[in-house]
Amino acid sequence: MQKRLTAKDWILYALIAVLITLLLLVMYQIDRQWLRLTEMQTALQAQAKDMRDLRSAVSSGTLARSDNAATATTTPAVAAAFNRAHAMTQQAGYAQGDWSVNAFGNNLKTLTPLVSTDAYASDVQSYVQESLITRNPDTLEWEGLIAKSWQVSADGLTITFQMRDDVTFSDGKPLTADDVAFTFNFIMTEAIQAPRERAYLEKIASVKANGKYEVVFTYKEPYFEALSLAGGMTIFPKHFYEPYLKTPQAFNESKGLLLGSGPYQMPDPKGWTPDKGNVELVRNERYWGDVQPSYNRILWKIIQNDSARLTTYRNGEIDAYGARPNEYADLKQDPQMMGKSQNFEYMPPVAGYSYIGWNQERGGKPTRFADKRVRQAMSHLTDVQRVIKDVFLDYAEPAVSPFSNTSKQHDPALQPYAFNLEKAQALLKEVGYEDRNKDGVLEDAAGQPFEFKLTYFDANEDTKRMVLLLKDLYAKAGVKMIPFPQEWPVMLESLNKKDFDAITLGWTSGIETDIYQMFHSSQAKTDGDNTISYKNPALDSLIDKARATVDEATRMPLWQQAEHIMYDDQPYTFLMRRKTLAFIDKRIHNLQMTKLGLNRGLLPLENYVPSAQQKYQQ
Amino acid sequence: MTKHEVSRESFSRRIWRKTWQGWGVKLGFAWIAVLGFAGVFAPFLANSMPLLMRKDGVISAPVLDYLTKEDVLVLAMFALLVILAGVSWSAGKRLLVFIAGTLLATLLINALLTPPSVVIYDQFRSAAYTQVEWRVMPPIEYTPQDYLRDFGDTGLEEPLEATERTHWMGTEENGADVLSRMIHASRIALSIGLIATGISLVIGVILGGLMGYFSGVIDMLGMRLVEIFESIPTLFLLLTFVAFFGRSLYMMMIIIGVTSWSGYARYIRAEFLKLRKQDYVQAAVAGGLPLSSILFRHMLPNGVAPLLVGVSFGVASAILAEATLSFLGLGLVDAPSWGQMLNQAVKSSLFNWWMAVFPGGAIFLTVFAYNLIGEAFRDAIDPQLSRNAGVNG
Repeated sequence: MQKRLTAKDWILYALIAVLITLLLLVMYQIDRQWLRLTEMQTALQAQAKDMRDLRSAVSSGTLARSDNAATATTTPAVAAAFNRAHAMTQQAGYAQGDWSVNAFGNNLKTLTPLVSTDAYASDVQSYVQESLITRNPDTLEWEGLIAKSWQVSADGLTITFQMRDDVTFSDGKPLTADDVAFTFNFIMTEAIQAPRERAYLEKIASVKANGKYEVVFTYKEPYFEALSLAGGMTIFPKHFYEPYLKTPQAFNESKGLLLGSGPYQMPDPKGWTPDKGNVELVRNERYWGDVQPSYNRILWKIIQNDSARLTTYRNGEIDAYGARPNEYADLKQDPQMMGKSQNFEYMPPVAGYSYIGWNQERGGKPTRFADKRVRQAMSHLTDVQRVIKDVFLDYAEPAVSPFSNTSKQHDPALQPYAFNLEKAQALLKEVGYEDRNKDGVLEDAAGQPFEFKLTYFDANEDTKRMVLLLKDLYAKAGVKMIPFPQEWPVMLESLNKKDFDAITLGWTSGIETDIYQMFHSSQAKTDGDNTISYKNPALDSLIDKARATVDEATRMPLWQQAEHIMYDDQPYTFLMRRKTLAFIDKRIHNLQMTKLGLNRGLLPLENYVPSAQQKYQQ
Repeated sequence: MTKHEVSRESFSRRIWRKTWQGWGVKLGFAWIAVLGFAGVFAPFLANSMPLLMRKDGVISAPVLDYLTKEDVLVLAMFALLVILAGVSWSAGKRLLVFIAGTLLATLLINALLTPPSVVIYDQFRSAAYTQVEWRVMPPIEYTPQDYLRDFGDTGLEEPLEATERTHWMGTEENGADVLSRMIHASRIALSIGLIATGISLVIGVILGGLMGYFSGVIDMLGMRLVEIFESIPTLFLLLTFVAFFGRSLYMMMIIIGVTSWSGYARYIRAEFLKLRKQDYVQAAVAGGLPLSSILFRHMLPNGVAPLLVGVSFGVASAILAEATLSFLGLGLVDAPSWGQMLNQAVKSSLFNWWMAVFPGGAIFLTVFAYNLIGEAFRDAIDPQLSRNAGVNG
């Protein structure tokens, strides 16, 4: 007897298959119902809790109903920090709703504050966590956000903040002075991986809660940015982060521990992981602020490739695109692009600068760049004007020093180094460089040819073009430069090990730039940011003096003296500051220029989408 | 009643005759020959400096002064090939002489030649080189690394767009002439294909031969080694090496060579397993010949035919690997390469057709040519394997 499949068997098997499929589908549906139920349950719980709080507040009499109907017509009191946002809500087309969708050019490693190091993560964190004070974009003065007022003692060593009493975290717990004190102690815990924040906060001796809504910062020594350091510290919820003091390793390796008092919150404050790809923030329904944010969600997509990012923007799937100089003019002529965009071309007041750093010490020995004259010669050979014209198509301005040309730290009398081949050759000859074997490259007295590797980040096309241009310029003086592209992590590694000849990178800057991090000789230690091992005692003492001078009128001349020393020394060849060339979707309204640059992404949020143009529901 | 005719033709000659029948293989070889010519004589075809000029009554050849070590080595190897083609030696002897000659040339060139290590290309358009009685320029007047800095920013011009200069294939993003870069890139493509395949061929033949001849335990171990190497993803290995050790053409060649020998080892092992019990091999063993002689003088010539197939496909895949790497932006920085130029076609917001058509066409034709040759060899050597793809007319 042979077993054979007959028609009957076939029908049987088909039936079984159908049954299994149906079972699976039913399971899937029930699963969805459960998820939906859990969502509803959490929402209900949150609301019930709010109702309870409200009821207890009413019964205890802290909330009195205003009997006077006339007060309803007067505008509600709005704290100064929310003035601009409040003005926006009064516009004719103002509406809440829609999403803000952005793109990141790289994968995020972690969203946990302190542990994360990249600008992307801090971008996300700024929507979720807040600090005591914030800068006014119009006047650049500090205004209270969570703080109502503050006093600085006469010697500048103690700062006392009075805080608002109506601030809550997104999980409903109130934010008190204890949380501020906890934040400081948390960062100063050695086991927590926050070396960079610690380096700055070390100037603070203690942070003490004085009652529930007053907190006192005490400094060890005067510091010119004392107020912004204390008031700019983002506040961590004690109840959320405190358990990690017992398991610091879990915190240091976490991927998404993010909870705060800001207008947006993570859907799950502990659950984000990098493999999710996108980062999504939802509205904090309990936001304490005087003006509620307009967008329902803030979403970031990960798009690594430049061309793909442009295509995505063209298709309307992201809201903004930063153009490269060589495509900007073409895109401005492109009707499809201009039909859907508003474009902004501006020099941000806080624009960072790019530079070439000349490493002065390798393996404990001084390099050829340890000689000031060699660095000056290299600066004279680096034709910044031409780089700006040919590579960045005039969408940049030369940088003279770390200080922005518009800041008071900068001495306007200093002009950027001009391209001067004769002067560079004379300087190199003075040091002892000559073409001894007639091969076109200079040699030093020992017969070593003047050749070096210039390390740069390989994913940036414009940098690559600049490096090739510089290679040809240096060749004119008989200096052989070898372009050395590297991947980001490898590059950071060689920076930390100080293992490179020369490197081109950029630093971001603030309103007032503190150069201690990059140029003070104490920071030439391992993992310090003085990666070129530049040591100049005269500059050190000026930096120390300037940082300890609280009075601006006496501090600025000190910065200018420091600038003169750097100008003469050229530890870096300062290249340029680049303009922002942005295309932003027309839906986004109320985009304005401020002294901090474009107000997109400023907090409290100042943009909205009128209801007629809203794309995303929920 | 048919008579058996005994063919007097040697094995290799017969294979060659059968291979050379179709038109596809002829086209393939023709294209490779064009590339070879471009690669060998690149400095004389596309260069910013005059080939010959007469200034103040003195005749000079600036091209010769600026020849790099690689240029001279390639020319020397070409000369050696031409000489050996005219001599009636056996193939093995020719090969040995060629390898020895190449090594000798390399040593001599390294010792004697000191080319200028920095060249400023603008100077060849200055008075010192243009105010002359007469001069002979190469057909294309630009070196691939000549970014025309003296003309300002000349990046991404369409073919024949510029009025004061002639760029038959336009310029790339840094302003260099695309046709010149195409010609010099053929050298990179060919050399990476041939050298990488050469490395893997040597490793594959030795290991495969030992495995096939000894079989048993050695065969077992060898096959495990082959499987290990087959599971290494070459492209990811290349990416990793580039990230940590910088970018170098020789490193690419070695990595591609060291990771792709397993196919050749399998071929040779199979052949030797077939041959090891043949009478003439047994006779050689009985005669007490040394192992190297048995393997390489007696067995290899009879088992080498199937390798020709693998080699042609191997060269094609090595060229593709380099092109892929350059296309991902991880190739050499400013040495010309087809993949790198293709990369620039999609880089900017606009589609630069000339950056896609010419390098893309060159990659396609080269890989296609090698594949055609491989197919033809396969059909000639192993009629059963033949898919009869019309390659053999």
